[in-house]
Amino acid sequence: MIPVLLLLSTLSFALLLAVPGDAASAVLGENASEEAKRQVEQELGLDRPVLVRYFDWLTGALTGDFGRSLINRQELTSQLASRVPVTMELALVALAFAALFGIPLGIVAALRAGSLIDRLVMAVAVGGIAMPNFFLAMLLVLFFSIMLGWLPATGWVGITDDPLQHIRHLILPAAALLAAPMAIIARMMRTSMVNVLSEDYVRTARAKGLRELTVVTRHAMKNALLPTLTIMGLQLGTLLGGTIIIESVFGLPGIGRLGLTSVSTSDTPAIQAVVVFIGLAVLSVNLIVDVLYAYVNPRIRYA
Amino acid sequence: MTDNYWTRRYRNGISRRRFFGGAALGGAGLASLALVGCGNDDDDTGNGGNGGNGNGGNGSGNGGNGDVQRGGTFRVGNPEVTGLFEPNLSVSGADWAIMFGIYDTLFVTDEAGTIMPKLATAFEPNDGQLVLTLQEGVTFHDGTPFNASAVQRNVERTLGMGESSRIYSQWQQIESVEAPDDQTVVFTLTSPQYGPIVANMATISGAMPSPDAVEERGDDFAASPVGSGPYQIDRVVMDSQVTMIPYADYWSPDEGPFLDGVNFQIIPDPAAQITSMQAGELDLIHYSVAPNASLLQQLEGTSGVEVQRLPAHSFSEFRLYLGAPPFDNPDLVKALGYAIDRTAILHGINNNWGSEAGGPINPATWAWDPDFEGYFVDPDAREGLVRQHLEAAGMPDGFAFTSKTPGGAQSRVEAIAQQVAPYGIELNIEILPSNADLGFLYEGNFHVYPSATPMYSPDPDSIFRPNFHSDGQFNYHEFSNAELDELIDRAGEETDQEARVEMYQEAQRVVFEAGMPRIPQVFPDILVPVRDTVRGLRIGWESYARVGGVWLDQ
Repeated sequence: MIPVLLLLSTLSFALLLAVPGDAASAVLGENASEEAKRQVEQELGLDRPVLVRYFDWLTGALTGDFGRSLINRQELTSQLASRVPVTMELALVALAFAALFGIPLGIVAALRAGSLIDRLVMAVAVGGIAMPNFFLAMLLVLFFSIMLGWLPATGWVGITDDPLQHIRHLILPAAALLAAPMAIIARMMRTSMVNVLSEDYVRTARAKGLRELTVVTRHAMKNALLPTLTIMGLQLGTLLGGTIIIESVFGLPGIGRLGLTSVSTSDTPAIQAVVVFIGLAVLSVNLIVDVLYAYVNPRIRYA
Repeated sequence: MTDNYWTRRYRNGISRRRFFGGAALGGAGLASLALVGCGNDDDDTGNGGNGGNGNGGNGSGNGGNGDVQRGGTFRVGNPEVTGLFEPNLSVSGADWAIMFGIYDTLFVTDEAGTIMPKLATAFEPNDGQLVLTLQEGVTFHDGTPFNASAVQRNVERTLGMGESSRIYSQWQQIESVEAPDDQTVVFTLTSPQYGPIVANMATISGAMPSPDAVEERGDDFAASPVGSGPYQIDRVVMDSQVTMIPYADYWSPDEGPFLDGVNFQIIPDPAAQITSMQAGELDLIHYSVAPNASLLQQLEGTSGVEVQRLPAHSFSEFRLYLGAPPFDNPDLVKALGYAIDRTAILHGINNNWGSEAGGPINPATWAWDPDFEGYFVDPDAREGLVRQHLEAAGMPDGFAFTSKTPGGAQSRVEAIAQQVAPYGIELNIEILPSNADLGFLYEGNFHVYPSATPMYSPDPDSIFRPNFHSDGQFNYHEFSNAELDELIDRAGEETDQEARVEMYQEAQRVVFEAGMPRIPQVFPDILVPVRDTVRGLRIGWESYARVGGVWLDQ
């Protein structure tokens, strides 16, 4: 994991160097004098050699100190600390509900394979994958916020400030984010379930006279979940990427917003912090999925 | 009827009714020097000038403060917040509406740039010195007094920071500061540019932090600022919201604070700002971040929301490099200038929200010259003028040049490229990445760079000196005109307001005739979506909201 993160940070640093644009212009605006720009570059340490800057950053990052933003000079570690919970909550809630809806939909479609229900579920799934999340977000806001006035269109309230308002502010962003993973999970679950249901051990279970519910839940579903779990792990990475847009549309103070703002202002340390965090999150989730795999599939546990 | 800003607006089908009601100031003319000896008389806004533009007070249609209602939270949509609430560090207009609630400035202005008292009640120019009289009874949020010593410490700190301070250039002509008593500050100037420096004191440069708090809090001051304004910071959640609470001991209770709080909600996406306004979650979308005109049209018909318009203090333009071909030839500058159809740009790019710019002085400024046409000519005369200048330049078949174009200006430049093509003028477009290093401007490595020229202060000096004076900070055009330099210097020193108006109008004619290195195109309107329950909102000369006096008609 650590070598991957190291490689990731090095690559992103190198890429940022290749990208045109400079932080001093972002700090001062386009009407800044050259003298002022040089002064700012000196203040921010941007006049030092690239390797020196990178190793300074790396040694800091290894001790949990990501340095300060070039733009607002605030400590990035504390910024991450306040933003990570927002993004992780949003992504995990979206993933949880995507699984909650996607898995049963996939099972229902598999059990009625070829039927109208199956086609309907798959049509919805394809729509969910095809629809950009920012577009869905706008539709949800239009319907639930502007037309019905049930839910807030933008903003964020901390759970400790007002738990009810916190949940109300979470619903629409999570709903906009979960459509695509839900559709993917449903499709994967259906495919996997259809395969499993045609296995010999399922036929045996039915032949033993077990109830259909028991056959599906105890025998088929557990095995069909394995590939779905893998997909869910991968989806978390996609969800974290999706938060970049969704957090901007809904005005949420998460990691995605920090990433987007930082890229637009060439705030290198902030971009590096975001890249490392997202890399760490995706690698961690994959590790967790591997562990879960072993839990769900005894063959792996005993191998 | 003279063809002026308002007649042009009517011609474009825009109703004046939609502008902020407020108290019409009438003569917008007198700026700085009207203050001498005016004490606390806020009504003394001067005389003369250009006949007024009817939007001086910028209230949202409320009456006086007699029927003020107290309480409620004023919700403002802002696109971002940098969290640097320190005048020496902040360059983000998005932060300034927040900072104008935290800090009082030495002077304030109306939309036209007329200087009015605030922390300083009067000033007097005197033989290279400027003497300020300060308001009594003002305290900072930390309880320390605002006095001449505080002003002295703040200004000396800025001067000591040099270019590290973002407002250094606004104070640069101060040689020394003295505080002979608590209510008097004496500035000794390196050059007697009285009007411009007083105007600077009405900008964010004139914001007064508590010097004791600055020393005590050090680097943390920017995130936890202390001023003397009607509101103080309660909480900052980056990229989410900034909440402000009233300062109970505010020195001028008639001017606020009237609210329980002000909540700046950070919404970066323009479309999301609109939907949030439609959903009733915002009372104001801060103009500087206001979404573009086509998005704002979605608000038409939204109950209780009005899109107010104010004339801007900037103009969209082409910046030219005159040190090399093709624009080292003034006739080619003029050929390009005349070839641009400003009415079409205004209609197609700006949705008719603005007015055509023939010269650099904008119509909301006290030096506006309604008789000056510059590049804004009769459409029938355009072709003749373009051909005439191409002939004079010895290039009757046209010429080619490249525009180094930021993404935001692409559609405008593309439209202009089509407009000038029939004259043989080939405009090639090179798109710049976001946050591009603009060092090429200072290196003279460009033909055209499309941008917008702002006013840096309410004084017209800030249009001319930085951009067109030979020593101007942003005159990377290699433009030099001795007559103009002399005129700009004299206008800065002049203390007679009528004479200053004439001088800047003359400066506009001189710079135009000499082949102005920035080709004006449109004065875009400032768009302010605001809920009709909002009262007492003031918009400063530079169009940033002043939330201090806001109350809600609940």
